[in-house]
Amino acid sequence: MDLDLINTAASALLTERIRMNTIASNIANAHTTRDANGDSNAYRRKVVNFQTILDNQNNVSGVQGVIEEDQSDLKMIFDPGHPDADQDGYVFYPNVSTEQEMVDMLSAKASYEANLKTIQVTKQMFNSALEI
Amino acid sequence: MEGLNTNQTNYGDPLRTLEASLHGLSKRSKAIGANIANANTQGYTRREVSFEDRLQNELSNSDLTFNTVTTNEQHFSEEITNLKDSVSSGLDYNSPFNETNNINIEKEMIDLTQAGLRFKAVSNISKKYFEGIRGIIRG
Repeated sequence: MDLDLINTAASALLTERIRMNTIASNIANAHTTRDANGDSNAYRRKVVNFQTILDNQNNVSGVQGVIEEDQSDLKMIFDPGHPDADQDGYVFYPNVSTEQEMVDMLSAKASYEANLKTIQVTKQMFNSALEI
Repeated sequence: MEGLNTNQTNYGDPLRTLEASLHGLSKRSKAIGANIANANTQGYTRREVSFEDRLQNELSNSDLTFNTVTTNEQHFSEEITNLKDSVSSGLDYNSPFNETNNINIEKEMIDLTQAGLRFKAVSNISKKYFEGIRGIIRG
């Protein structure tokens, strides 16, 4: 019996936390039409893709997240008065759907709790092994 | 856990059986933990550790000393399989539960709790076993 399982669960906790941060960033930037330099460049939704980590014996030893941009189309809204409108009067808004982010957030929370439970059970197993 | 890696394992000895069981349960919880950690990983295939049948077989021949040769820690009692060739219950794990992989998180949580409780039970029995020996020594 080893402590690997706690590390596996910890890697998942970290990844779920990154996912939660990404979701928070998406919601915060749901109406951002400019980038960090102030140029007219709408924010693109970020997604965390999960990747299995294998150890040298090909056993699963955890999970890691890769942050990527959602390549779906930006929302085009007709608003000629907007400072960032193009010559036809359209403004590009981020491809963020708040509803989807909310669902993802619940999913991240549930996964986080599931991994916490794994750690809890491992701890109990350790304790009962120590009582032999 | 050296008992599992020796070339001769006598399953007539209750302690060896308990040890094999604890080892198997610990491996199982590890596999379940990996499944839960990868619940959102695209294309992940769930892992499962089965050892009870094997242990049962060995126990029914417990008068015999049987030989195991292990060159890899996965060789003996625990068999890590992806669910393509192992059917364990009424649920069909070959069909994906969701778009990303074939993990059913509820099933994993139940299996984890079960493995944890079994581990506790077996370690309690081991404890009782030692208490019995202690009693005999004290007389």
